[in-house]
Amino acid sequence: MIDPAKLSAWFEAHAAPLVLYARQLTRERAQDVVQEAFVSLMQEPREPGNVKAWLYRAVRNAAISGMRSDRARVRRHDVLAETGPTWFDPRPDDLIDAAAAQACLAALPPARREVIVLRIWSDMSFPEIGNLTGLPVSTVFDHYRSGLAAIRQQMESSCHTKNRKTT
Amino acid sequence: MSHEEPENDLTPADRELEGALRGLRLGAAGIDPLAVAFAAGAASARRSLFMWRSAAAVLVVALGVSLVARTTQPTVRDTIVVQHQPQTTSPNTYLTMETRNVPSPWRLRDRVLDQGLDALVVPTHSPAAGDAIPRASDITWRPS
Repeated sequence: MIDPAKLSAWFEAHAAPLVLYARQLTRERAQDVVQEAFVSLMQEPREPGNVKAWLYRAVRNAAISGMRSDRARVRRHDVLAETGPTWFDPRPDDLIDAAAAQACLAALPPARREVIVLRIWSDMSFPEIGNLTGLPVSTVFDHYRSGLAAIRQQMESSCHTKNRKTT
Repeated sequence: MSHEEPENDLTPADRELEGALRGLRLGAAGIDPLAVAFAAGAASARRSLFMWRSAAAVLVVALGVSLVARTTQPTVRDTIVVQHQPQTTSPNTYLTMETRNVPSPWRLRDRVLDQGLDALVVPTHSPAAGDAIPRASDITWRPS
């Protein structure tokens, strides 16, 4: 069994990004999936070579296996996307509105959203994302760039809409 | 287009947006690490308990099978196997115990009851002639 002190450090470093990542795959069971991943990690007889990659893979596999049951609740998901838990804690010095960023991210296609979340908040390199998702690095990068472009476009249009409403 | 260093392909606008998004603080995970440790411990204990229960179940099943096998096994009785051997030419095979001067206890009892203690006197014979040729009075013939 793995040393609890190490687990605490990993938990501190990876729990929040993992939950955000899990929310992209299974919004209702995100926390459960992450908790199960940490429990499984603790039960491993030996420490995995790359703990971060191991955790993300465990979360991804568990979320995808639970996705089938989630599909029956797709409509409910759409409602949850608006009323569910907030992904970010808004702060006054944020350069971008946290709620708007969440809304833009939620509107992205799942593959692009997954890549952007892994790249920005899980701090993974493009090859690491490719290994996790099974996509070529070039495809991962295309998803990333087109995802960013879509977010920028959405934020600009929402800003224009807000400006029109205020004027 | 090479993707060896894909980050270099991002536009300044992409980089600015990337930085702004990266600056957002993630919400709390909402998972208690103590709960994780507890769940891991409980799962480990459950696995250990399952192992012991499995071992106990195997032993109980083995014991049950053994008991059932014992009760259904046919009881072994002493059997006397009579083997008919071809008759030998020796006349001694027809002699009863009395021909060897060893009367059977029941016969001896009857004699004592009939004749008194004198019946206990065992007829003697000389060792030279004794075993080889029994006297006619000592021989009781049985119908074959």
